[in-house]
Order: sequence, then C-alpha cells, then structure tokens
Amino acid sequence: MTEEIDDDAIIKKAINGETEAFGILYERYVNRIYNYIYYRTGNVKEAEDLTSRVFQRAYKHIQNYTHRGVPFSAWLYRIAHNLVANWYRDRSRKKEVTIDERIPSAAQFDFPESNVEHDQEVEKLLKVIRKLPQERQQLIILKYVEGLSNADIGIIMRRSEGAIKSLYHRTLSSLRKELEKKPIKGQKHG
Amino acid sequence: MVNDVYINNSDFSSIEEKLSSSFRPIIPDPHFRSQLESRLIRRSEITLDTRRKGMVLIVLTIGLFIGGFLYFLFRKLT
Repeated sequence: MTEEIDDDAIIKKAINGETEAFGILYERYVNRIYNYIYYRTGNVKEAEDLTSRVFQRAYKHIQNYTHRGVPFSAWLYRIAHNLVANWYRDRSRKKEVTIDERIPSAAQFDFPESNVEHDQEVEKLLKVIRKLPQERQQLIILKYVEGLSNADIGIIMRRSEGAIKSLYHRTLSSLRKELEKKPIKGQKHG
Repeated sequence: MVNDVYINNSDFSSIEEKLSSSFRPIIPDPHFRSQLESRLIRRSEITLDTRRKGMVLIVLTIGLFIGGFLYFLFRKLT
C-alpha cells in the first residue's frame, strides 16, 4: 500500500518529465516485468529485448497513464502481455523456429542449487504450461512467479476475482490432465 | 462445471506444490539492467536533438524560400 502511495507521487513527477522519477519506477518494477516475460518466452535474449520494449513504451506513453484503480504495475504487465502476445504471433507467422527452440531447456533455467532431475521436471512442466492458452499461461505466471492474488491478477487481466478463481481451477485441471498424459520423472500415479 | 472443479479442489494440492517449486524468481543480468536504465534516461537528450533537427528544417525551408524569392527578383530585374 505504501509502495502504491509512493508510486503515485513518483508517477506524477515522471508524467511531468522528470527522468529520475521514471528511473525510480524502472528500478522498482524491472525485475518483476523481466521475470514475467522470461517465463512467458523461456529465453533470456527475448526477455531482455521485450523488457526493454516494455519500459520504452511505458516511458513514451506515461502521460496516458491514469490511475483509476489500476496500479502502475498492472499497467506495465498489460504492456508486457501485449508485447508477448505480438511476439508469439510474429513467431508463429514467420515459423522460423521449431517448437523445441521456443520451449526453454533445463539448461536455460540457470537456477541455483539445481539438479538434473529437478530441471527435467521443470522443463516438462513448462512444456505443458506453454501449450495452454495464453491467458492461462499468464495466470499461472502471475500467480506463481509474481505471487499475485486473484484480485490483483483480475485487475491486470481485466476480469473479476471470481472469474480468475474459476479460470485458475480450470487451468489446474487441464494441467493435471496433460501431466497425467506425460508423467514427470519420479512422479507416482495411482 | 465450476462446482465440479471446486469439489476436486483438494486434488490440486500436488500440482500447486509442483508449480510453487518450479517457478523461482530470476534476476536479470545487472549489465542489461544498467544499460537499459541509461538508455531510457538518455532518451530525453534524444528528444532535444529531435527538436534541434526540427529547427534546422525550419531554417532551411526559410532559407530556400528567401533564396528562391531573391532569384525571382534578380531574374525580373535583369
């Protein structure tokens, strides 16, 4: 909440053209936006490129940002979501890459304390997640990477909290079905 | 349909655990972070350059107009 109050004051300064104020907003949100894009694309290079574009667009259009109950972070996530959606569309049109290239390998996820078995599990799970419709992928990432509540996700995705809750359960259900088809190593099935 | 989904709520605990352990925060490359920040901040200078370019165009247009006008006068007088 304090962060939001601070955001308002900083945003006003940024709208008035104070570059330093935008710098503070950048510092505050760059990691979150990067994480979101990274898990949507599974590629460091694309995550860096798209994160740059998000902040360039935000800088250019900050005058158009009006609070109206939508936090600044939600505004940024919406920009990020639109850019990721365009990225997916462009890639599917160009058909330049194979599916395997689009899906991150375990090696790309350079987690500390990682082990091969865990990496393989993560890889399989992410493969299944990336086959989900975009809105479901967005929901899972916002919930598990960003740790947002259903209410906050609802603001970003322009849906009610109840609709997000319902979509979340449908997503888990379809994930479970897919994982049952492709069992994760070490996972027992009854 | 939604009710069916809620009934099976407890079944999702294992998949929720799996999701929690799979997604870990990633820290972007500090070099990338600082480079992007400086690029964003330098944008204001670029805007000033654009304005200067605009001024140059205006001066050039006025210069060409005056030049053309003088040429027209010179031809009329001779």
